[in-house]
Amino acid sequence: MIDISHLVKRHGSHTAVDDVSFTALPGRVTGFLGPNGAGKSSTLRILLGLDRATSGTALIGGSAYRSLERPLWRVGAMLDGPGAHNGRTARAHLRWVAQSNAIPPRRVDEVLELTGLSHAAKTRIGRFSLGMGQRLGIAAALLGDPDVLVLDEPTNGLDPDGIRWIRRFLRSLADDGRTVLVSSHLMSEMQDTADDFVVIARGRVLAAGTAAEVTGIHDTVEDAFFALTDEHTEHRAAGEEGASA
Amino acid sequence: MSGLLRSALPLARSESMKLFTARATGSLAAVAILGTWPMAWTNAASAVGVAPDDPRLFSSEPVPLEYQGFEMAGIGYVLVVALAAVWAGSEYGGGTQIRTTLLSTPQRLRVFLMKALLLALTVAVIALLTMWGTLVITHAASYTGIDPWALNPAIWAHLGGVTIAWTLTALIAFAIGVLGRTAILPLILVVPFVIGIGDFLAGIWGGAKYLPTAAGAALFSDPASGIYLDPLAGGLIHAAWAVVLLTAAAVAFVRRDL
Repeated sequence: MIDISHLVKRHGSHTAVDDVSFTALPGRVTGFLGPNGAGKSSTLRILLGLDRATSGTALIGGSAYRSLERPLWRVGAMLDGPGAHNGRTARAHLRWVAQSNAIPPRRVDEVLELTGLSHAAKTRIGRFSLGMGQRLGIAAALLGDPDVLVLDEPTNGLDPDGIRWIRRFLRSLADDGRTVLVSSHLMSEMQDTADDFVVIARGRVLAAGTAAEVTGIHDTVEDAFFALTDEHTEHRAAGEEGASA
Repeated sequence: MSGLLRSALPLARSESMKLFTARATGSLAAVAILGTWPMAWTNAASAVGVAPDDPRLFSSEPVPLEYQGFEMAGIGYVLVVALAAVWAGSEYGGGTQIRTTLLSTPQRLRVFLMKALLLALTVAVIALLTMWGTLVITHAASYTGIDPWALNPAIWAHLGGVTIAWTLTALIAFAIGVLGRTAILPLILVVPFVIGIGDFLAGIWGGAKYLPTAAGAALFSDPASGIYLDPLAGGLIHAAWAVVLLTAAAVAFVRRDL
């Protein structure tokens, strides 16, 4: 389970994450939704120990990520592409990642197979398409067969087939009892996949709960999403002022 | 102890794999060793039969035997600095590998120390191989009277000195690379010193002999030139530079957001 409590991240006078609290539960896909720049990635980076919080806590199974020994056995994460050296092959990249956490080398071929990258195992990562890079990032996240998955915009750059694959895949992971936290700026993409939703804009959580709870008075989750985030999105606000003038 | 080993061994294996499977590591090491040896041979063999005070030689001051061959240290020195720069910078290049590194091992100080240790060991081996071969070749090709396979204690001491100097300078380049998150910065800042700016400055400004590479050069250079510190002081000052820069880099590496 993921537990984020009163998380704040400031960069000088700008507050990227403003008192964010939510939980993501085992056996459920939690969609972390908001427009670009809403604070989704900042929150996930703090959760994964890459950035420091100004205040508040972000815990995975009760522990801070930075305190985990061999974390890949417990948490799989993918942020913004594969995070790999372009000169290395996919297999060589996954091999060092596996070694760092004493994960058996046979898992490398298993996750390549699982993510449909077996044919590209010996291809240098610099020659990968955006979608292949995303798949490689997911492959690395699955190496330790973890109970918790944190994926930042995993469908970026995927073709429709890839998007459908991700949806089914996330669903199956949660059905196995894993905790799956997925961020997206596309509400429509998460509507059928996620069990729970956390809507964030300008660093603040605007709504959190099941589809029914977040939808409220609106027709669909997507309508609710736009109604909630419209007033918090700068370019939209500016555009509307311009139109009414 | 077993807990430390348990956590350090997988990291040692993964970081070694990164270092030794990188194309730059093998090629820079090979060029350092295989580029220096033949040049040592042509350099040494060309002076055979020429009197030490012959005006055709670059210097009419004869170089003492135990310092001969060390003038060949230049090429390899540049290449190990390049290796250190690439080792630091490769984490931050186009693919942002550092993110995966820190997701795999969030204990950042451990990662930093392992990287520095592996680099130091690798550079020490490259330095020892390059310069030992160079000295064997130098003494074999120019019939200096020293058994090339045995050398002598003074030469071995200087060989140790050059190994220490290369290793410390590589660590300095690594620290600067980590601080700047790029391979370019250490190349710009450190290579000029390695190719002799420090020695050049030391010739015209007394304080320059305390600069890292000039201080370290005291470990394997003829003190008769008058521009170097005492070897022990030089080695300590070079080491102090490395410790200060590594500490700054470690603090930045552990504390900053990715």
